[in-house]
Amino acid sequence: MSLYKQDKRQVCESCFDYIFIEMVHYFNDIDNSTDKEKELKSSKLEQMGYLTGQSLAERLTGDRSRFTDNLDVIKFVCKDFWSTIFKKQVDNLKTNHKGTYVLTDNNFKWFSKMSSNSGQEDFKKEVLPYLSFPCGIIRGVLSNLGINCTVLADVNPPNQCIFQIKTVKS
Amino acid sequence: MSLTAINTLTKISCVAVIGKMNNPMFIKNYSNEVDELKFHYLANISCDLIEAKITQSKYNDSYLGLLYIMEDLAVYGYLTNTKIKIIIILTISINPVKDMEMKQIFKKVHAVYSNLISNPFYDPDSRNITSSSFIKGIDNIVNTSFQNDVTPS
Amino acid sequence: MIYNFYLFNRHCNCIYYANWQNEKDDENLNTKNNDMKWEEEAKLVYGVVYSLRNLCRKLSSVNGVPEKSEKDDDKIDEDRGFLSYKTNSYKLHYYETASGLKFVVCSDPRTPNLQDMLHQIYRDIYVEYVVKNPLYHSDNDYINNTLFKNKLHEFIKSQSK
Repeated sequence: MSLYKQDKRQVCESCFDYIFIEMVHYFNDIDNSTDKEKELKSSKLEQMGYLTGQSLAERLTGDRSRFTDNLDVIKFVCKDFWSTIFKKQVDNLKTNHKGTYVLTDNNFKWFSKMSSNSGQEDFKKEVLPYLSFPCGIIRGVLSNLGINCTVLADVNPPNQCIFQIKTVKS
Repeated sequence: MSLTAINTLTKISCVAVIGKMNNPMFIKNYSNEVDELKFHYLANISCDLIEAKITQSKYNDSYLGLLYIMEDLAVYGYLTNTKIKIIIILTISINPVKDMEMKQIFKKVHAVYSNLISNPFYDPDSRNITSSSFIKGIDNIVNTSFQNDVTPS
Repeated sequence: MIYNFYLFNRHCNCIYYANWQNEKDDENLNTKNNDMKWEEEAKLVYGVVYSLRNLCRKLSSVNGVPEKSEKDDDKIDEDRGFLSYKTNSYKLHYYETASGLKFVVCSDPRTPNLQDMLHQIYRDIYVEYVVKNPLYHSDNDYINNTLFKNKLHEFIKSQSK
């Protein structure tokens, strides 16, 4: 996926797939003895996603008109942003109108190749570290567009991902 | 009554990029006559004017147009979706400035800024933008704008 | 009609085995080898395939260099070594990748060359669902992967028609 509109250079998608896998392996394999260290690792991944999300927000919203309110921003994330990054739109968006939004993606692209024979609970545990980076990206995009929030993710095997966004009143 | 020299060429005198907290990230003076401090002061006023303009009218476009004119300087503003304000101050001449042209200049500056943000070596917490490619990009835009002005003979 | 499928990695271990013989009543094949466990069968197959491949290499090289036919550049028939062998009851096809993976398929004797099919299995099923699966860590493990299994099954079924 290329975001360089001027040059039209393109990068093979597999490159990103492999780097993403190794990224998570790197953070998960080095000395994950205590739970505290594990949390530190996942927060580092999330921080990387956060910075990426901020740059993406700048580049992807450059051509559009200004957003009117928070719901407009969330809709942008669900449609344009999701299509650019994950090649499809979010399948379901729910909100309680009090600052919480739930995004459901029924076929999360980055997980489409993941599979194992272990049971559902084990699968969930194995897949969860791979969600820190996307959560960070979403948080980065929203924060750069003016919405401070926390993002939590959950996965329903095989491919369904649910992202819960809770806005923080500043 | 003294005759002031009629300026026949519009040119960009200053480009300023203001961050989300109204912190000046980048201010560069391209004119030889005006003092830099004056531009800082003008950029500051522009922030207030931009905020007033947004709240007053339901303006959806990023380009905010002409904010105000002071002596021979015209101040134009642009607000991105990420709440970054770009201010361009022109030394005006008798040639009218078209909105489309200003919009294009702002889009180019925004593109240079997006490139800066995407640079992994850019520190978002730094107070000033010191990246040489960013400065070169802005210089390039300033040098190539308003080339087509006609000087009356 | 594809009978079974073996996948060996470069450490000579069988990392995947699949069998479609029982789906169709074929008495010639079912009777003899059912009592042998699949791991032993895989080792035997590997031995046969390894020896045949080395034999072909030694026979087809000239002064130690694999022989290439002197045709136009676009039509160079690369010496790809051992491809398949046929007996009265089955035909075995072999495909080896540059990374040392060996794909072996046994089919009925009338099937034509299955090199392209094996290449497709490698490219579209193995690379996509095994290499790109972050949960498959070491390349010495047996492939315990429902997606891979299902995709391979679907693909073979579609080819057998």
